[in-house]
Amino acid sequence: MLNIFEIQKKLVASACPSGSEKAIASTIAEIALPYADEIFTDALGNLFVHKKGEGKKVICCAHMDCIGFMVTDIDDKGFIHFETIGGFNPQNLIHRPIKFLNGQKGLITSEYKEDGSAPKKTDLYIDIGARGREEAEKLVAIGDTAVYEGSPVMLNDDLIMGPYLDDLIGCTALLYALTLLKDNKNDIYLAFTTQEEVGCRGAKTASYTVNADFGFCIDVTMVGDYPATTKPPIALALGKGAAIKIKDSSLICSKDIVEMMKKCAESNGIKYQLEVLRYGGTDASAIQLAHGGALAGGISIPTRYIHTPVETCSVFDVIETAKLTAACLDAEPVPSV
Amino acid sequence: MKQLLKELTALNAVAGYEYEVIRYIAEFCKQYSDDIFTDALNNLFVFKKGKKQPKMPIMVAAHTDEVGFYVKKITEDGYIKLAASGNIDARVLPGKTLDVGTDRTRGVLGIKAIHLTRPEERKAAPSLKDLSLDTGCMSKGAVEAFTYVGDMVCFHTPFEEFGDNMIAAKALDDRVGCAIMMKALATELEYDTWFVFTAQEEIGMRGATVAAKRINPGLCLVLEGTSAVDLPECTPVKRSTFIGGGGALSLMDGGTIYSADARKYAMDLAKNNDVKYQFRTSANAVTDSSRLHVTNAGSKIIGLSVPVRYIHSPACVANLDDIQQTLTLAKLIINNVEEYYNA
Repeated sequence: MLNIFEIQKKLVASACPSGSEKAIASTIAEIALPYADEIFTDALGNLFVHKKGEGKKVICCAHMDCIGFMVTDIDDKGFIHFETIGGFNPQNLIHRPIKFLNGQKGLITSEYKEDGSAPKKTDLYIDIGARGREEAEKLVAIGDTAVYEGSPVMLNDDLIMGPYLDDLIGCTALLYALTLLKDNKNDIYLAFTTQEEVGCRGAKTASYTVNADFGFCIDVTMVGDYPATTKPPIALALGKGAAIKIKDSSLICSKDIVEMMKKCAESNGIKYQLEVLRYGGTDASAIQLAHGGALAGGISIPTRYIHTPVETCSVFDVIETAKLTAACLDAEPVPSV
Repeated sequence: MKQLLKELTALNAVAGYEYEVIRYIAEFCKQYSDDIFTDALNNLFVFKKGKKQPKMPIMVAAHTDEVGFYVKKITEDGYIKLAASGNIDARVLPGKTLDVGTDRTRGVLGIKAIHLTRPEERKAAPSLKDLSLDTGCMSKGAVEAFTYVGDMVCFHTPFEEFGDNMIAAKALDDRVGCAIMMKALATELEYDTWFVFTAQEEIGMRGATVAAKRINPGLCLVLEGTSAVDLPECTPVKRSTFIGGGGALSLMDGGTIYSADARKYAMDLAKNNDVKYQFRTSANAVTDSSRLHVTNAGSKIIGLSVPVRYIHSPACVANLDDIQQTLTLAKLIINNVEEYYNA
């Protein structure tokens, strides 16, 4: 049995931003290999783990890219100018340690604002300690990418905190689900997708390649159980089980899939809650619109402080999500007429 | 190249009205191509055989449409109100000369004379709805004799050569990409190549959305004109690209993270062949790339652009050496594609 915390730690150690997912793909492939019939990749870097079966063709996406940073220019003093990859609040970035994929460490800092106003993205730059352009250019190049530096920790016996639960914890759950599959009937494709954070781009080509009968994604979702939460509130909380997605801003889940998920949860004693998300899109939208369309849905892991380096979720919820995923992968949609 | 750009920028083609440009390009390409056809969206496909067939198709793309306008309304007293086709900064418009319809009836974009405006009025930039196109006609009927609601309206800018090997014209975005494709396909190629002149880029990459579905390329090379903001007010890190630096390889923009391994392939070719190149350091804007690389099972993507000052305005400025350098790099990318596929 996989240990959620240990797998998550391993994945976070090879976290990659959208568009440069090579390292994380090979880490995941290595873990999945003993359980897979076939593993392959495509032009966008999606990693497919195939478990053969004679039944319905199913795709389950968890995105393996993370939000991050890309070098756009290096100035004469050796400071790095960058673009963010994916959604960030500039306030969350100041004085954050980061690491480039080549191992170079650095930190994000900002021009000093005399009026005390919050910095804008264009005020931020990266300090890698270089003494001038020449030294900096030896350490990083234009186009190189970086991620938050950091490793997950357990806050108590259930809550895990750290960068990149979004969506490496979804990948962890999907890997865990893979180990639970036994003699599956369905023809199952697990797609560890790329470039979700910039618009579900990997999922578009992955869904085309698999051309599934139905599919769903595993991603994190917002919760409404802490003081600084969103308004209007969302009826999700940590520790209350997997969240069955009803809708987000990118799709309305197929009723047949929602019913299938509820049925799988109830018949397997899996704890669940229902997710109606006002903001944010997921890979499920790409599954739904590939080819002539497919039944699509999502299972979400409730998470606090999404897109910060201190994302927090419940290990119990991750295991419930994995169990529900395994059950749904080998189930059939429930026709709702 | 100069003559070709002069002729291409003299043609008018806003999104949905790409006919003049398509006809011109198709006529030029006929003698060099092995297959040539258009689709329902008015994408023009030109297939040219090379010495060998590559492992996977290579597709080169540039868009034929330019930013411009449509006739939105004709007033009783003979003015034309306009709707924009693509993103146009209305600050560049007052006082400019425009061509209406395929017959190119001349008009001027007027604004109230300075004598009759108050100082506070002059502080705010006018929006398109504050401007009226004056074709000298005094009645709706007289205007309706040469145009109709929905007709296209384009900037009227004669092509100029000036300064240090520079050209000024309208529509360099993306006739410069079209011209590079035409020059490339007029040469002998190492590999079979698809050249696709896409439609409706400026209003949402609609041609490109369907174009790659027919080709299933392994590698897409998108040729663009991109903003060069090398102005006195702009620090080097904020200029995106600059004149004289050669073709700009894209890192990322609003619709695409360009394939790092394909960019490296292009950079190595440039270095080994003494071709100038630079990076497009801005992450703003969206191009055909955004649609092409996620079509079907997806493809690798290179964005290569000619730096152009004052893009999306009636007078765009580019450097002929940059264009030549971009053409050279584009040909290298095409003619060595199997090396990339095998790497």
